[in-house]
Order: sequence, then structure tokens, then C-alpha cells
Amino acid sequence: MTDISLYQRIPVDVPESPPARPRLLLIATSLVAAAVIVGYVGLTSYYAQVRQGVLSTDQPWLPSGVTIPLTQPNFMLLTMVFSAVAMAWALSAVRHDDRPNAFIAFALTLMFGFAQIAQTAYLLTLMRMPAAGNPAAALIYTMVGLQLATMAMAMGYVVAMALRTLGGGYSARDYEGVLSATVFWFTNVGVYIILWYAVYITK
Amino acid sequence: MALTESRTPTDARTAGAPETATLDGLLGSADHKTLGRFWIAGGLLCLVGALIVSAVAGLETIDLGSFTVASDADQFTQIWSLGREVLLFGGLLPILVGLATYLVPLQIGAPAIAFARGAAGAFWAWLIGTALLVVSYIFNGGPGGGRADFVVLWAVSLGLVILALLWAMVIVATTILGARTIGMTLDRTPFASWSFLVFCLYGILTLPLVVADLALTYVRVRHGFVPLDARQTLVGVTNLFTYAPPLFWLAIPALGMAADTIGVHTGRPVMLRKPIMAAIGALSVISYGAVYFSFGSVRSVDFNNFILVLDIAATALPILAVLGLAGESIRRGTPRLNVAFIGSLLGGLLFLLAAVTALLGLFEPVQLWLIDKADTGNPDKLLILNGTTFHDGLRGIVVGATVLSITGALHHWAPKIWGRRMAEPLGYAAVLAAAGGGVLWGLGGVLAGVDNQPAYPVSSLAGGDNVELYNLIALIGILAVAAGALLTVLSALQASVGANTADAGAPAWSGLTLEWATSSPPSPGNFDQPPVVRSATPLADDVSGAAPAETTTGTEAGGEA
Repeated sequence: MTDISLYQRIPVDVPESPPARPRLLLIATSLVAAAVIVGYVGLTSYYAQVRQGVLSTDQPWLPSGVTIPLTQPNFMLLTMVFSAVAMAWALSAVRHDDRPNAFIAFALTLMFGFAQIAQTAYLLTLMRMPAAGNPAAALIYTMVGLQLATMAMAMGYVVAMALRTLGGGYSARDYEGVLSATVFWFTNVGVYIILWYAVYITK
Repeated sequence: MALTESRTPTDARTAGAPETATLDGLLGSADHKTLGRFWIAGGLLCLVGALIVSAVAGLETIDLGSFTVASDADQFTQIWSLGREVLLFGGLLPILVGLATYLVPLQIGAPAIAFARGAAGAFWAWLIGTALLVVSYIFNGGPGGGRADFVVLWAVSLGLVILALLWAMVIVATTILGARTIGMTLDRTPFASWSFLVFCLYGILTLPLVVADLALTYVRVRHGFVPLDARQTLVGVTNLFTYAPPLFWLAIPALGMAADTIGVHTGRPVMLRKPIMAAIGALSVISYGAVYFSFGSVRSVDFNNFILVLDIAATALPILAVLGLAGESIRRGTPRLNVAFIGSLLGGLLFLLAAVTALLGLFEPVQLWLIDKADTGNPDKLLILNGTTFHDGLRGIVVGATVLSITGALHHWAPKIWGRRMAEPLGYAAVLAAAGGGVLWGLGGVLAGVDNQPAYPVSSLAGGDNVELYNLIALIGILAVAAGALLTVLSALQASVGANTADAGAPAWSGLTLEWATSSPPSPGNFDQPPVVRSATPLADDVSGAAPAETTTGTEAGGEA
């Protein structure tokens, strides 16, 4: 039989605890980023598998008359690289309590995000690919759509963190939220790089 | 406080302020205890409903001549698919998420769950998604559905359900990784919380595949790329979680909860913590389905892949390891043969049975041996078994095992959740029904598979001479598991409304982990002050002059040996 008194005691003569570790947002963001990467890589692997299956039967992968130009995807890649630099700049500025530079960098990041969305819309217009009737169309639209959804989430995240920084919530002392937004923005850039290579370059 | 607030929330609603009886107080609550109860209640109701729907599909299969319950093959596919999807995403997973939401902050010494309002959002999103999912089937949607708009609604609602579960898992994992109290290192984390962490990380790395597949399905159906006569194939979207080895994902939290429960009810904490934690972690690696069921091959699984077969064979090892180490506690201690103990133990054993069955059914030499014994003279049998209802039988055993584990866990933690114990007589009946039902469901499905019944969905029901008998056995099993789940619901209802007067006032169990250091149910903020942990069994740490760990409120009087 167990000793009851032993079980009913918990130490109380201990020093007061320090504040909770302020890493929850960074941890959660990292987990969500991992989920996004897994989902997108899974979808890309399926894209490659279906594409390989079609090509092995000597059939064209893209519907006839559909071409994917390289100019827009490459400029989008450049835009995403610039956006990553701008986001890193924002993080660095917040870490150094340089608020004017931080807000310029946040604004630039968002502007590059909008530019990427606009370029994607323009590219889809140029491609003129019917959504139905071809295995490639549904897959390409899904991959592009999920990349845009990731971009929208990342932009929303950056807006929220920029507003919080504006309100004094983040500074050199605590910049966890901005760091988390940066992690997610980089994930977003990674997703576009996968799309760029798997769909736009490989075609 | 915003959703993205990084500090552990301490305001009234999120840190577990006294709950008001008003509707606003309940629906607006972000307290992890209230949300945990919501998840558990919603999940239990969906579980019973899904099992009844599964029984209706099973009723169809006891007469292969024609469709009698359903009007045609499409409707049969819809009924079967509805039962399968709600069972997992509406029943079993939400209950496990609910237990994690309730228990994790208590076990790791946190005053609240991380992103409390986000956790509330996850629950309500799941609830709305589940309701829309059922609506989509009612209006002729889902796999086999005849109305394109409601097939689209099915894809969207199932996506919402999975995203809500995914977000809830992110929150639970974040809480464990970042909100542990002082001294609570990961290796001191209670088994249940450790297993919830592994379970959630597994979900975070697997569920996105299904979400991506659903997005693709949405585009395809929306633009007519999947014609109406091919929509039965849409059931493949959720195949990932209904085949071995990913099926054993559900065993991860079950084993962790069992290790905690068995330690308490034998009076001997389960020793060799790190091997048990390693075994639970190994089970997640071994059963990580995304490696094999990579997106593209979800719909056509190659069970003749040697690596996959070897992996399925290996799933039995960690389950055996955890049960063996827990068995040492049983040998050294004095087991109380209550529902919590029996349910947890039988749940683990049933998972072991499922793993062995998977091994028997999928390991080529064993299949060849079976064929030789059966003297069928049909070498193609090896391949036929892989496309049969064998896997439905396997899933039946796993469902029975999970229901058992949940029943055991609810009985164990009922004093924490509702402030009083659940009724033991109802619990014994529930455990008996779920255990027997799981075995029968598995037996019927496996034998029907061996007798060449093709895997669902099918255009016409077919199989060998004895398939109808085997399907009847499986149907009895489904009904028994449903009865077990229903009894657990009744027992939980009794405990929650205080109708179980016989056990009212019974003390909480004398566990050694932090959740037993606070009142039952826990007070606002869970702990008067942040606990400091010096070992994996903090309540066993003898500190001179320490105040009694257990505070009493309501119906609870103290601990029990």
C-alpha cells in the first residue's frame, strides 16, 4: 500500500517563478510553417507524379495553346527575394528600436506581396488555361491558389505585427512577434520557390 | 488579448475564471477546461452517431443480393463514407483533442492553454465544419453524391474540420513545448502529455496532405473534372488515416494515457520513463504514413512494398514495449480492477491485436502460409487480400481499442473534469461492449476480406460464400462498440450533471502528476501559484513543511490510497 501523506504533498517553499517563457508565438508559427511546407511539398510530389505519368504516354502536359512565359515567374521570384530582404530589414530595425526604418520595411514587404499577387494574376491571364478538361489545369490552379492563400496569410500576419509594433507592443526588448512573422514570411517565399521551379520552370 | 498574444494569458476568461451559468459565459469562454469539455461532449455525440451510421452501412452488407437499405451503390458509398469520416474527424480525434486541451495545462503546471481564444476558435470552427459536412451528405453530396454543389460543400466542410483540428493540435503542442512550469523538463512531462505532444506533431505533419488533397478535389469538382459517375473515388481523400500504418496514430495518445492511468491504479508509477517515452515516439515514426502514402499514392496503396510491410510489422514493437513496461507496474503493485484500469489496459491490448492482425494480413510470408493452409490453390489471393475489406476489419479493431482507451481515460480523469467519478457499473458494461465489439468488428471484416469481399466503395456488393455471415459478425461488432460508446456518454452525462449520487463525494485518485495537486475540478488559473517540479512525480517529492498538495472543493474530500 502506498503512503498517502507522500502523495498529498507538493513543494511550496520555492522561489517565485519567473514570467512565462515568451516563445509561444514563435513555436506556434514554426509548427504552422512546418504544416504549410508538408502540405505544399505533398501537393508538388503529386503534381510531379501525375505529370510524369502523362509525359510517359507521349502526351503533352500542358493543354494545347497554353504556354507559361518565363518573364513573369522570374520577376515574381525576384520580388519574393526582395520581400524577404525587406522583412529581414523590418526585423533588424525592430531589434534596434529603429521605428521609422521598421515601418518603411513593413510597408515595402507588403508592397512586394501585393506585387507578387498582381503578377500572378497577370501571368494567369497570359496563360489562358481552361480550368476543366485537362489534368494539368486543376493541379496548376490548386498549386497557385494555395501559394496565394499562403501569401495572404503571411501578409495578414505582417500587418498584425506591424500594427502591434506601431502600438509599442514590440521593441528591442521583445520582438518575438516580428520574428515569428519573419519566419512565416520566409516560409511563404519557400513555397513560391517550390511553385516557381515545379510549375513555372519545369512546366 | 489578441489571438497572437505571446505571453501565457492571465485575464479572467482565458485563465479559467469562475464560469457563469449564462449562455454568454459558456459560449464565449476561452477557458481550456470549458473547451475541453466541449470537445469531449461534441466528440462523444458524433462518435455514437457515426457508429450508428456505420451500422446502417453494415446492415446493407449482410445481404449481398441487392441494395435494400440504400437505393444504389452511390448512396451506399455516401452512408459508408459519412460513417467513416465522422467517426474519425468528428468523434475519435476531437475527443482526444478535448482530453489534451483539458489535461495538458494541468499536467504541465500551466494556468491556461496557449492562444486561448484561438483554441476556442478551433472548437467552433470544428463544430460548424462538422455540421456542414453532415448537411452536405444529407443533400446528396460527398463521395458518390449526385449534386455537384454539395460535393463541393463536402470538400470545403471536411477541409474546415481538418484545419480546425490542425489548429487545435498546434495549440496543444505549443502549450507543451513552451508553457511548462519551472522544472518541468520534457522528460519529466507526464506520459499523457508527452503522448499528446507526439500525437499533435504527427497530425501537424500529416493532416496538411489531406487539406491539400481536398483543395485539389475542390478545384476538380468545381470545374467538372471529376464527373458524377466517378465521385465514389473521392473517398480516397481520407484513405490516409484508414490503413495501416497511419491507423496506429490513434494508439499514440492511448498508450500515453494508459501509462499514466495504470501507474495510478496499481499504486506503482510506471518506471523506466525514458524507454516508454522513446517507444511512444518510435510508434509515431514507424506509423508516419506520409512517407509511404505520399499524396499521390493515397488512393492506390501498394501493400506489396517490402519497406511498408516491414514497417507495419514493426508497429507492434513499441506497443508491446509500453504494455510490457506498464505490466511491470501491475506485477509489482496492487491493481484496482476499476474501469479506468481495465479500459486502459484492454485498449492497449486491442491495439496490440490490431498490430498483429496487420502483420498477419500484410506480411507476405504469412499470407502465403495462410493461403497454403487454406489450400485455395489461388496464388492471386495474395493480391486480392490487399484490395478487400480486410482493412475495414483492421480499422474496426483500432476503433474499438480507441473507444476503450477513451472510456478508461474519462473514468480516470472524471474527478478532474466533472468533480466526481463516473458510474462504475455503466463503465464495466461499456468496456465489455467496446472490447467485444472491437474484436467482432475486426474478426468479421478480416474474414470477409479473406473471403474476397472487395474494398469499398463498390459498384455492387460481392464476395465468397460466407461473406454475409462475416458481415453479420462485423455488424454485431459495430453495434456493440456503439453501445459501449453510448454507455460512456450516459456515464459522462451522469457525472457532469451530478446525477451519479452513489459516487458523489468520492475522492480523486492519488496520482503523482501535477493535475492531482489542484482541486477537482481545478480552480480558476488551475494553481494558486506556479508549481515547481523537481521530478517526474512531483507529488511524491517529500518536502518538509510543505503544504498539502490537494485542496478540496465541492464534492471532493481528499485522496485515496
